[in-house]
Amino acid sequence: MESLHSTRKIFTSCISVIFCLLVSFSSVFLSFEAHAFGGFVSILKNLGKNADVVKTLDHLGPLADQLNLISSKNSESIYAIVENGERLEAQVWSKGEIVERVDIANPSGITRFLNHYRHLQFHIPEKDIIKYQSAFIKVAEKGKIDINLLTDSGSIFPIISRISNNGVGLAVQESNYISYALDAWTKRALLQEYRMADLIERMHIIVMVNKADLKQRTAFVNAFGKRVSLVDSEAALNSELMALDKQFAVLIGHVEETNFLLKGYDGQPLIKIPVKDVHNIIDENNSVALMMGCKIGCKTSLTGAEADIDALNVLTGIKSGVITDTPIQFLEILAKEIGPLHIDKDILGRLRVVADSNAKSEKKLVIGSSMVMSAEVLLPKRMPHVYSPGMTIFLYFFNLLFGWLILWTISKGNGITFVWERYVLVGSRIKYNLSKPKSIYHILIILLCGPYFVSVSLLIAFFIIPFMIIMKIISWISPIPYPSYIFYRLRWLPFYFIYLIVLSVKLTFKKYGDLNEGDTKSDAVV
Amino acid sequence: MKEIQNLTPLFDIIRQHNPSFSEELAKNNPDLANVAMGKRILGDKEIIQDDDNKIEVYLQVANEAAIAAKDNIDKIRAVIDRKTKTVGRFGLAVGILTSFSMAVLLGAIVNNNEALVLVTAIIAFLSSILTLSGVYIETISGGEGSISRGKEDLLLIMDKLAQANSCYLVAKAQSDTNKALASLIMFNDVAEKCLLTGTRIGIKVS
Repeated sequence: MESLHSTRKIFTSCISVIFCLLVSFSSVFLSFEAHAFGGFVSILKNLGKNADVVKTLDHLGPLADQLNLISSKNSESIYAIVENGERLEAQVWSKGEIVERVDIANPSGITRFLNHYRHLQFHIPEKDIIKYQSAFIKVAEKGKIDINLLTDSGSIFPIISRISNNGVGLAVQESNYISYALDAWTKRALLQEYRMADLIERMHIIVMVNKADLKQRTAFVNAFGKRVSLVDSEAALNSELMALDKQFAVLIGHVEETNFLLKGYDGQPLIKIPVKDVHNIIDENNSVALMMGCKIGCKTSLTGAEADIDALNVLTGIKSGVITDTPIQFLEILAKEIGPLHIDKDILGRLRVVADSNAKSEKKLVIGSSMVMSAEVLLPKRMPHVYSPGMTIFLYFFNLLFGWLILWTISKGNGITFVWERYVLVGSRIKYNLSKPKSIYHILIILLCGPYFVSVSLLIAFFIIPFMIIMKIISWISPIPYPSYIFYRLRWLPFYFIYLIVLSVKLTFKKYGDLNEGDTKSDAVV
Repeated sequence: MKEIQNLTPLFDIIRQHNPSFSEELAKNNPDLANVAMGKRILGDKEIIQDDDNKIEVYLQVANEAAIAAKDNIDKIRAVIDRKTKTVGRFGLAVGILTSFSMAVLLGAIVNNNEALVLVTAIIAFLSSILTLSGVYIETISGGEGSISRGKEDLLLIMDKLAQANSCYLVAKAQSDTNKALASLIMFNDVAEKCLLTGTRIGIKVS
């Protein structure tokens, strides 16, 4: 009987330890931030799916392995240009093997080689295409070029040549809607950070529109309220531009050649100002500009649309995009509404700095004139979507504190053991003798993990899930995106309400006495 | 026909009134397609089109604009009439309430009922305040959505519409392109005022 008892005790202890550790580590995912929860859910959803992609991403390191995998999946041969030591060589892969190697002596050899074999489709590693960019541009200038970019993770993206006012350039076509300039591609991680909430707080929309165009004016004012300025003269535009300070400015206006141009009904220009000048003013004010006009992406070296766009579609795109998490999600939603969007490096660093200026602790980043430099220095190639260690530790202890408050309330002064056995190990008949020194680890587990488990469970059940459902419903029924956004910013409030409710319940039922007290006393020592 | 591409209010009221005409116009005149369908394209689309039938298109648009403007005026007038009636009924109700409470007040004073005096006096006071503030807002202050402001705007719009209409008829009789264009600009002014007044009194701009 004694041995059975100790076996059960050890078994229960082991299960408790594993369970508590799992719960504790879940702080990375199950923090109170909705997007972290969303990330966790998406990981769970994708488990078991896209096995090939996972394999490619996780297990393929060397370039040769990537080419091997790609060629083995293709019936046709794969052509690649890779750096082999000091020299460049073109490789022909078929069925997972190299069937031919052609030595290309130097970068100028690339031009000769590609011109000779231009009917073929090539796969070029990311670092090589950026390093020998000028050689590829020379080939592109002569006409169509069929090159794919091969990333470190094994993904393939087509390279397109695009003609702008600055001549021929190469761009990476990430999707039907988004293309990146090569320089911007390497820094695209800046668009993948969770900064959209801060950017939206600092968003200001300037629309160049005729006074009489009530349809457009009403639509923008109804959608964005005080965040929108409607201008119909150069003086008003200049005044709005000068008033920007560390803001995310969206400029919407009619573009002819490389100028913003607004004409009156008599055909006389009310506003005529070069896009570059507007960009420079915004830049000087430590702000970031997203210019929305027809073909700005082609006419200037700035981020913008590549085709004709409709101002009312821009409005819909921004409205839909304000509840996104990252700038790239925002731009993708915008691009789906207005058409193809070209992303250049002009917005990358500035977006980050403007978003940072919203956080009090990081204001130093935008002080001084070196805002772009400060962002460039901090550029990582790929930004991981996890919390910093400090933030994780803070969340852990914050949850712990909250859990303790909850437990203290519901235990009615009966102590930790009672709560642990009554609420965490529900149904277990195993009890601990806390007077024995061996049981010290039990106490540690109870202290560090038990309350955390309770608080996380409570939060998921009573806060995160209802919060996400309510937010979704509000975003469906609301004509404008702000209510759900405000709700998102006030996400901490229900957290405190739960505690207040529990506390009030305790105080209300205090007069009935502690019904569980007798049970606790009888189970105290086994 | 670049001259009329900017006249967005004009094409907006035509589209609201007769969408099929706008679709037909967009189909037959590619350079007017975007503005006729209510789009706000932020660039200059170069479309080379034979402008021989310019006068015909101008006159068609002007004719449709005149009908659309009259339709808009009717809608605005209907809203103003409804508002006037509502305000009148409200005034009547408040007046009755004031008179009634005053009568009760007098009775309460005669019978020396202090509680009833207090209650009826408060009711009478509040209803008088409501009447006074309603009259002030509607007739004196002339706020954005006030009836008097709406009536003034309506008179102005009707005056402008008459001028635009006469200009259109002269252009039609003389087959004068410049006069037809001038009439369109005048109709655009009418359309702008219609939309503005409509927005003020709560008619939705679509």
